[in-house]
Amino acid sequence: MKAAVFAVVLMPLVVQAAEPRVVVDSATGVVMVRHLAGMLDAPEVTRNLDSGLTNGFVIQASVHREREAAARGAARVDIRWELWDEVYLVDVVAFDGHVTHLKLASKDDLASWWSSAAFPVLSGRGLAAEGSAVVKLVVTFVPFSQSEVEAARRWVTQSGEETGSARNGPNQPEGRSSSAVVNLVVATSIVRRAILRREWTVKLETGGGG
Amino acid sequence: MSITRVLAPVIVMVLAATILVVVVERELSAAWFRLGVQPQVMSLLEKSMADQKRLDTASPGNDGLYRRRYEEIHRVLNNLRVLEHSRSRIVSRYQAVLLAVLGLVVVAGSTTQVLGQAREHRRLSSIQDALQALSGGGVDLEVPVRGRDGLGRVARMVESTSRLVGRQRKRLEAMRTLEQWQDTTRRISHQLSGPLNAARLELSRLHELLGGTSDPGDALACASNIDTQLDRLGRWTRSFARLGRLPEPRLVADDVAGIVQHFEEVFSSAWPGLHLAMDLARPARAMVDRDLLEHLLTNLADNAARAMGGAGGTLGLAVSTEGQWVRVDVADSGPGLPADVVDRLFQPYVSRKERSDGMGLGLAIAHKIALDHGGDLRLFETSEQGTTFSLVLPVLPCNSEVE
Repeated sequence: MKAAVFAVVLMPLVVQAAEPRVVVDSATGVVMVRHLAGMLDAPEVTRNLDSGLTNGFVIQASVHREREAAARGAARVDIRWELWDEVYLVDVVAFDGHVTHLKLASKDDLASWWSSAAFPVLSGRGLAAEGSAVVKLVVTFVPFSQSEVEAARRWVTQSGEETGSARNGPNQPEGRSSSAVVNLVVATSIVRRAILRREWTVKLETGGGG
Repeated sequence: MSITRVLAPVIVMVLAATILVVVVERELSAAWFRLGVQPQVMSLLEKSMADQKRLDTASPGNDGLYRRRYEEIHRVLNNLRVLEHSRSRIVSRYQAVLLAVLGLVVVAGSTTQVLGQAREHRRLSSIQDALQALSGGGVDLEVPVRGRDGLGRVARMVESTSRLVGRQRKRLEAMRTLEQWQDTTRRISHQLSGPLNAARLELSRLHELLGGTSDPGDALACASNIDTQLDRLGRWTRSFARLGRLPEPRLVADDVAGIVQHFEEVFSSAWPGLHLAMDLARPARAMVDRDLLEHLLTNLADNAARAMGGAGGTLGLAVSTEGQWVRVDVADSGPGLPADVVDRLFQPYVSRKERSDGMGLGLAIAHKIALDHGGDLRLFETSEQGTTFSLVLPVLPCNSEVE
């Protein structure tokens, strides 16, 4: 009986709480995305968060009014666990290219920051004044950065070349080893792909700064 | 070339290669890749990084050595982790590359197989054609099959056999010609010597008669005998000349049945006791020289009449069409041909008549006329009930104009 009451009364509140919010800052006119806490707790994220690779969240927002796209924008959040210093290095890249660097000492600090963070995704001047609008929000998670992909590709390619040189001997002209094809296959197969994707459609709210 | 003969081995090859690639790739390539990104390896690298950090804490004066080592290990670990994330994509792409290579190999192999079989088929057909030509009488053949393999050797053997057959045939023809000339000279000398001896004897007797006091009537009889013998010689030489002066046929499209009908109308009473029976199919058109064709029929009828002798009989003339040929059967009700003349019936000076008042040229001339028309004259059958000769001529299409 209690479980049923919980399910009927409290679950909508939980869902409400898990859903992100998109708010236009009335002072700056910037559309901010908040309450993405559910993303950080997803197993695909927690599995990779301490890998030492740069975990990237791409937040894309498109504002629709009367079923037509009125504006769109995106922000990116890169989180990397630095084992040597034992800190989380966080970069928030706003829609306008402005980067905010953060250094968080623990996972709790990270979770705390993440739950209260507001990510600026687009400039929404005039959007609030024009009446109700909905925002289609897409957040994807990629477990490594493009520069890490390039580094891995270089590493694979160089490994192949070293193997070829070693086989030809130090005084022999460097030939194209048979592993070059395999290395090429491996290197070109390394691409960044999102391993987690979430979508929401929420109302565009108007709020104060912060 | 049967398509199944080509497809069956290709399908088997493709299946076998695909199974081989899938099994080998799954069991070997994927296993090697798993080995490269072993969790244990990554765990060891992580521990090594932690160790570097501890070492740096323990001996901070090492001027960043452990930090550099740490960074180095970190980079390798990062690369391995990126690889680990792309594992499924790498494996699937690797499989795709392998399958593409396999496809190329199979296509190349199949193409080679098909082209090889087609080439062998062509070579076999060439040899088959050459053997057919050889069996049809062809000599000095060139077989367009090169190479030192089995087919090439067979082709050379066919060529050398055809050359050998050609040489043998020429030799046989030369021998046959010589034999014919020998036979001809023997017959000519026989034909000439008979009347000449008789004439010489009559002349001797005439000398005796003119030198004595004989009856002038005897001298006149001798002179008459000499004249008879010389007349016989004259007839013989005219007949001999006819064969040599046989004209080239002037071929025009004509109805053979009509010619035979006309022949019956004109010659029905030419041979006493000989009844002509017609069986004509119309139309039966061919390119013929009407005069020469009537000459041919006359010779056959004359021959039949002589064979039946004074007893008389029936000479059947039947015209029909058989495929690409017009056929004229000339059948008599005579006693049939002696076995010893059947094989050389159409040679000059071969006669079936015991009393040789003909020259033995009738059938030879008839045969020559048939051959000059692009046809042939054959002995169809002979028995005690009669003999049938068949003349065949190339038929003309039905819509050709009859001149």
